[in-house]
Amino acid sequence: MRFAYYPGCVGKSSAAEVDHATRRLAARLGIELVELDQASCCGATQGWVTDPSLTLALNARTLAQAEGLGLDVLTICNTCYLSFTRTISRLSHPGELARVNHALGAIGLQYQGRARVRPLPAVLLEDVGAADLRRQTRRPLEGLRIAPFYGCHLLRPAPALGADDGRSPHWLEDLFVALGAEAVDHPAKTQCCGFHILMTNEPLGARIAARVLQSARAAGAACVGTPCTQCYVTLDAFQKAAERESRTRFRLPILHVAEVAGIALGLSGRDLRLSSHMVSPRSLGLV
Amino acid sequence: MGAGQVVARIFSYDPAEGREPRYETYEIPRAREMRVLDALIYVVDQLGASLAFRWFCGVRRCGACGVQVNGRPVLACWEPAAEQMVIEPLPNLPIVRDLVVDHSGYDRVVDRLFPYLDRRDPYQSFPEPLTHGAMRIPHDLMQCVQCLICVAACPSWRIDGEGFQGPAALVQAGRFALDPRDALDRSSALARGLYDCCSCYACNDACPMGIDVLGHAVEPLRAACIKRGLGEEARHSHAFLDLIREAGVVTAPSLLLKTRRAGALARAGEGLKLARKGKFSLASPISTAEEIRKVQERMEER
Repeated sequence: MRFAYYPGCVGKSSAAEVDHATRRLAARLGIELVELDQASCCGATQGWVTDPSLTLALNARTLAQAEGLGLDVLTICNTCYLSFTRTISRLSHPGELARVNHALGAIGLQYQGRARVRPLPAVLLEDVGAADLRRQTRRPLEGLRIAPFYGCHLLRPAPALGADDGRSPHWLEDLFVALGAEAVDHPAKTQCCGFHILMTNEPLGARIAARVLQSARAAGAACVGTPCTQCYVTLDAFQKAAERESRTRFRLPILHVAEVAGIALGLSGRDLRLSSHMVSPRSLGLV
Repeated sequence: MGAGQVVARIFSYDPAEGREPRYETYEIPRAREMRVLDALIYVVDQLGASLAFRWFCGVRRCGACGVQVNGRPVLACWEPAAEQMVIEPLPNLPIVRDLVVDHSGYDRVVDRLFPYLDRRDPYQSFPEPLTHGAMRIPHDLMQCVQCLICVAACPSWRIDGEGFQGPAALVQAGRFALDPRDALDRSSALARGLYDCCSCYACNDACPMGIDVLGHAVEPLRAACIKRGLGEEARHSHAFLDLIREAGVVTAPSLLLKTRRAGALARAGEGLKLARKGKFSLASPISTAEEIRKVQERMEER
């Protein structure tokens, strides 16, 4: 298995440990990651409103780089996933495609529409498979009460995986259960973490994050597991801000899917750089 | 279907009575193609319950019958009855009684956004010279029945209406502001709260009319405000794109410095804590960043 790997800006900076964990996990599973090291930012939410045509063209450039390798793109961030699927959908329009390929011609690239974009949990569940993950588990997460947190952009506007309409997903639960953990249901699991307004309205973003942490805590979870680097940063690095805004003490460790799988597959805390978390997962007694 | 029962636990509360809200449980014989609205009507008409709820058209046109069913805001007239239902008033809005919520906060927000067409040119005659392409977005927004289900689903909406206007009000603003016949500049009224949308698509997902609330209202209105440079978010968005153009990547410290400038220093303490965990690092620019300029130039050619 080979993928063109796109860690995303958050994976390259605030969540560098998740990028690292993803590489270690992939190596452990025999998945080869070829990093798209010349790819640009996906534009997140700002790109599409501030300069949509540049955002479209630069994402097409990234996808064309993956196509040059003959590979699909692997993402560890929900918004990167959305931004690329948005690009692919826009480029199904022949006029847009011609315009973008004219621009990419300036740097010797053409977008063909072949590369697919795959979020990490999709690769783990659909390509590796739950049975194989279970078989490769070295340290089953028995007794770990983990609250799945999907975030938004793998569910809305269109579900990235799973057969349902994105309203009552269970693939994250399926993944955690395959790794031996106990998935704890909670009402905020498909809600927003608040990431996209943290920079401009931190109190509001932190209040939104607090709702998620509150929901997981009330359900009796020991930690939260998410497929997204942005959700991870919001719930971990901004947990203090969320505690301040809600006047509640959470101290809930947040784990990215790459880390949950990495732990179960026997990687050490040092391998996974778990000491980089703001809320230490050490209390979980896993590694 | 047809046989069997529907068990509905329905929220009951009258602020005038001064007692705690409670839930009443009703057993309702299941009918063919039964909707939540049919169950509510049965509870009042056949079981004689005192229950306040709003409805008028029963066919997804009037927007009056919004309620929350099993945790999801829906139109009672457009939602199949489930075997077990917890029916509550729409969240995020003040309760008048039982399932009836107060829409007046929303009405006030809409009023401040000039919800009317301010014509560029005086009306000539029917038909107006409009194209389908130019009316595509306003036409989608015209489907809005103002049921406020998107508001109930929105994580950023605050009842006081002071900050974020909420998705429904932005649909109403967009309906006129994005109409090619309109000439009124609403951007300063919009910019005050518009940027608090966290792009979660909960509004799109909840809308019973299938309106692309985020793509057709929030984003185009936001784009107009950013273009005019209104508010801190505009600076943030321009800084974000500048970083992409210069380096290809965007990191929190570089963005913070560009957006908040001297204000970023106020957050130095927190930055330091994050930096100690390696979370506040500047990613190195991609070595082919000049390709970005070339692509941009070509995109701007036509």
